[in-house]
Amino acid sequence: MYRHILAAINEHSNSEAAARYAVAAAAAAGASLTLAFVAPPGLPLEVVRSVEAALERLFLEASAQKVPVQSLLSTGEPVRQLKHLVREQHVDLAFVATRREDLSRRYFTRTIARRLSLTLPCSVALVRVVHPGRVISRHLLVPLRGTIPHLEERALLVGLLAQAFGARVTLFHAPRRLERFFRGAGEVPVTEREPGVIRRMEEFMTLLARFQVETRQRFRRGRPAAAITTEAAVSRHDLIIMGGSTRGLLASLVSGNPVEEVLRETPCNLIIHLPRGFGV
Amino acid sequence: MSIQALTREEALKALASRDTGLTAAEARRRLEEYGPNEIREVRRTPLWRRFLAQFSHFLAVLLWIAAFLCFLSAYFQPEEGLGRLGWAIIGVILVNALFTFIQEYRAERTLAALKGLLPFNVTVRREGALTTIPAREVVPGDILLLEAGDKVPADARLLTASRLMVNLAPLTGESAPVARNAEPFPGEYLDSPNLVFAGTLVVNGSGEAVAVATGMATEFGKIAHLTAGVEPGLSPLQRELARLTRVVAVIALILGLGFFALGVAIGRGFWQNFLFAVGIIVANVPEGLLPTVTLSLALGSQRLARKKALVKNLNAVETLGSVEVICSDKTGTLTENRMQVQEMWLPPGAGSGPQFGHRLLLTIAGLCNNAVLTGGGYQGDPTEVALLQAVRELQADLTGERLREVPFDADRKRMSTVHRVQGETLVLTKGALETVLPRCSRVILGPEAVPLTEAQRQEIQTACEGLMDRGLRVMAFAFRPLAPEEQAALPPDEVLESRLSFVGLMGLADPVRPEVPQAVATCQAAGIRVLMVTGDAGRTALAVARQVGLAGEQTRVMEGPELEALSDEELKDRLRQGEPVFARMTPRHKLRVVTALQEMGLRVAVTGDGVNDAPALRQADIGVAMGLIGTDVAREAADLVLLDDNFATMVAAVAEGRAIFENIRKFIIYIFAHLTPEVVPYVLYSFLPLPLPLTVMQILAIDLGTETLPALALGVERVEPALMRRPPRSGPLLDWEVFFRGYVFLGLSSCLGVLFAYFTVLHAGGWSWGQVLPLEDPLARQAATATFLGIVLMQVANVLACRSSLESLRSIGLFSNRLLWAGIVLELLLAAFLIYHPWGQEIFDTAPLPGWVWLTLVPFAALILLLEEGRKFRRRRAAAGG
Repeated sequence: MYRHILAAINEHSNSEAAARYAVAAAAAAGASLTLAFVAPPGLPLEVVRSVEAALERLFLEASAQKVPVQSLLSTGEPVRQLKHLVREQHVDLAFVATRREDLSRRYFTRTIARRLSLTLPCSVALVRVVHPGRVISRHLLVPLRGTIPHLEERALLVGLLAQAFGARVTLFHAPRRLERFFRGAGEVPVTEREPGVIRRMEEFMTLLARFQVETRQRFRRGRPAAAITTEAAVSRHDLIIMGGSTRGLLASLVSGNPVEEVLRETPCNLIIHLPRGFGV
Repeated sequence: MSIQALTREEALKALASRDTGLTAAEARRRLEEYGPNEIREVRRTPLWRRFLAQFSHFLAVLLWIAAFLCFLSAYFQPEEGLGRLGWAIIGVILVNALFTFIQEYRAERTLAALKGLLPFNVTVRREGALTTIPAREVVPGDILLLEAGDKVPADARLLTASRLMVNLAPLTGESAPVARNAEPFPGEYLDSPNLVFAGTLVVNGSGEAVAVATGMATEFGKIAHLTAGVEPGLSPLQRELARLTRVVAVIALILGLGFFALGVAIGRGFWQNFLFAVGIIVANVPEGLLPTVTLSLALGSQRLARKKALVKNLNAVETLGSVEVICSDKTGTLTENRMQVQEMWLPPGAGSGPQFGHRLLLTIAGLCNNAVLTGGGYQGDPTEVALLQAVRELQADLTGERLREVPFDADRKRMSTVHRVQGETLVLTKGALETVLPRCSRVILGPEAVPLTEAQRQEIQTACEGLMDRGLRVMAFAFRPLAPEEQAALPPDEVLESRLSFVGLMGLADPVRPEVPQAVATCQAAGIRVLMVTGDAGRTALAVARQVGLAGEQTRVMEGPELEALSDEELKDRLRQGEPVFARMTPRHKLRVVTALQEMGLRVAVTGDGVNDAPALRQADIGVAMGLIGTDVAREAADLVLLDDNFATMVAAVAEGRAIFENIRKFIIYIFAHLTPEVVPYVLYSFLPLPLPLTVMQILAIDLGTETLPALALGVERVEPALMRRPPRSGPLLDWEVFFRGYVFLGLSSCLGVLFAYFTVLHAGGWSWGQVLPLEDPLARQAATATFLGIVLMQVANVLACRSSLESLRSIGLFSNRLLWAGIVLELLLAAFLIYHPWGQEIFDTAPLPGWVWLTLVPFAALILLLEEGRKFRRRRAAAGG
């Protein structure tokens, strides 16, 4: 179980919304919460003040939910400072908001979000907020594939957030389109084609059962990214929680990167969970 | 934090905003963070990739391999001239790719239509001052000022609202405006009355709201997302063609490799074997198939356009013929979308004809009404237009001064006006009985209002249910005179609409289109399930369903809330049980029904007209939009547009779609029929000491030249009536019947004539058995040309034989397909050009043939026709006997 959660706040307003997921997770896990803002040098004073106000709001919200919370404000290079903070405070999970640059640069190259997700010595939840008015999420969409690293920790975060919001969880998979060579009209059912995915889904459901959340399975054919965003829009999910990409740069160049595509096109808020296998 | 559940102050705090609005710097930062507030295209597979995909599907790969083998042969054996063939095959690949690629632009146009629904400029408050900004610059946290006539630029939480009414039609399909307020709401986001949504219209009142989502994150953006993002899979025809290509490719490869191995085994040289294998493969690959199919679909779409069904996606033409379920709207599709007052009801004792109650009923219907009669006819809500029309027909005098209006909205389900009529000030109310009757304390009987008893209430209720059971939409009418003290200062709405006197009921209906019951019966005979999916109330829907023959006495109606409560599996169970009427459905419900049907393995056609129908139209196998009442967005999202909104037109289009599938089968048999006479002489050549009977270029001249026009003409064969008496097709395009009739029956029959011509020409030229002639030899060229001509003439007979699988030529009319004869004439002219013109001879290695060779072949062509007529006769007899 997570014992210490960090919410990294930055000068953008969506990081405040992203931090609310950290508050919810901390409340559900009974973890302590650190709200941290590292002001890069040269940030205008009015912006620092508005972030201070955001920290105060979040502090009050967390306190109202009986979450042991501390708020830290420092200056310096954000990635280095946050890394130091994670080590020093034994943080298990850090919530980091994406910035606009994460969407405009391919494969997150040289973005703060990428650097944080790669270098923080803890699990990272990279949050993209497109709808700041719907942080309390009633319908969570959890796309899964055949191999899920740190399955238990993935289920842990989903379970905590679902529990915190009283949400229903939809486990989702976009099976590859495959037809029988000579009997093309009928596609091969996913249960037959990818039994491993079904097994993983069932394991995931078993792990979620202890959080007493309602779960269901859904499949939608098509390219994974398009299938995920379409399912989110059709079934009006308000949060997608998915794992990070395991594709390398070359594979992404050749056949695309579904995680990056979902990050760009998501119709609802999105958490990309990069578990390190901590504290389950 | 659910924004709808927060108080005004909390909502502002949650969005880090304030009453005075954002600062310019903060707005700039947020614009950078969230991006512009606009509908943009969902990133799809890039166009260039989609274009490249046309070069990498199975048939294309097969053709690439064939072209590569040709170039390889040309490199090592240049005298064989296979380089030209290689280029010709690449030409085929390019033509196929272009044909398919030009159908790829629909989504972009849909988005253009959606973008038109968002405003250009909006008024916001920033740093305490009102300012007008482009709507694309609105960011979460902006304070929006809304007034009647404004389009809402973003999803927003109301901070203040004064009599604010919003038309949510683009999102919900419900055209009646709904009241909005600024109070916290604990329920679901989408149901919250304190939210306004991007793309919707403020019809009344004013308010202030804080933007909570912009651009593609809005509910409107989700529609755009689905409209552009739902990537339709392969159409049934595309799948069938892919499968057919695989089968043919495997046959070609097996034959090619088999004969290569055989050649090696009997000691023939490598290059001879190799060229032979290439020839076998090229002869078997139906190069002309895809262009012919595409052209046939294009011709089919033109025929549909003449029937008032506009096809936007060529593959939709054939998919139509395969649909197993049609989910149809009611209003405008099954009915005429023209409301009429069909019945008036007054309480017993109120009198009839020109009595007080009757006059009063007409006065309320005419004055408490916003429809108007202008030079261009009646304008307004269809129900109000119908009321005004009825009133003007029955009562000319409609004078009164309107002092106030309490507008209709979907929650209150009633409308009231205060009118001064002949010196009296009256409150006139009309609306649904369940909201009007509880506000009545008296009832008009004769010339006076008497206290309303419980028995009378029950009687009114029963009368209303009777009208609804007959499919009528019922409006209740009531009034009360205002007391002098109330006239001086009009009381609040709630007080105005109290202590009313009930006057009567009017039953309105939208008549069923006269041709629809027959069209529904045709669907039922054709094994197509028709479901009515409508936003109307259950009783009205059921009555119309009964009138058109969709529902019986025992039919149950499933309503929206009931559907909401069902799981996916339960919904599928109910669909399997055959429930045909779905009432009070929102577009989201419609999408769910369509998805469930598709998951049950059924091919579904869906009709729709609203912006919010776009996702269901895209999701369906065939999306059908209404041309008259449909929005641009629905029209752009659909595959087919009904120019007259008529269900019967859709059924006619289904029949046309089935005919197209049948016709594609016909020309596949026709194409297969030439493969055998192309392959068999080659096989003989490989084992016997014979001159080359057919060059690869000649094969290509047949596949892509001479037989293309007759094949296309088969695509316009008329619809056979029996087609709509069969269930939707379940079998594949390529079955054993097609295979046997094409390859074996017609193919081997053709071989007889072709080989006869080949050997006759050789014999007449003095060839003796075992004599090896190179292709440059004039006699060898003539013999190969005789084979070529033989195939062409046998194909003339085959095309006539393929016009029907069952009916005799006499019964369908020898000359009933004029295009076919034009195709045959052109085929013969082209063959003559290739044989007799020096250009044709140069390129295709042909030589002129004497006239007797043509005459020699005619009896064999006649024999094919005779054999086919015999086969059809036996099948007809078997069918009649069975």
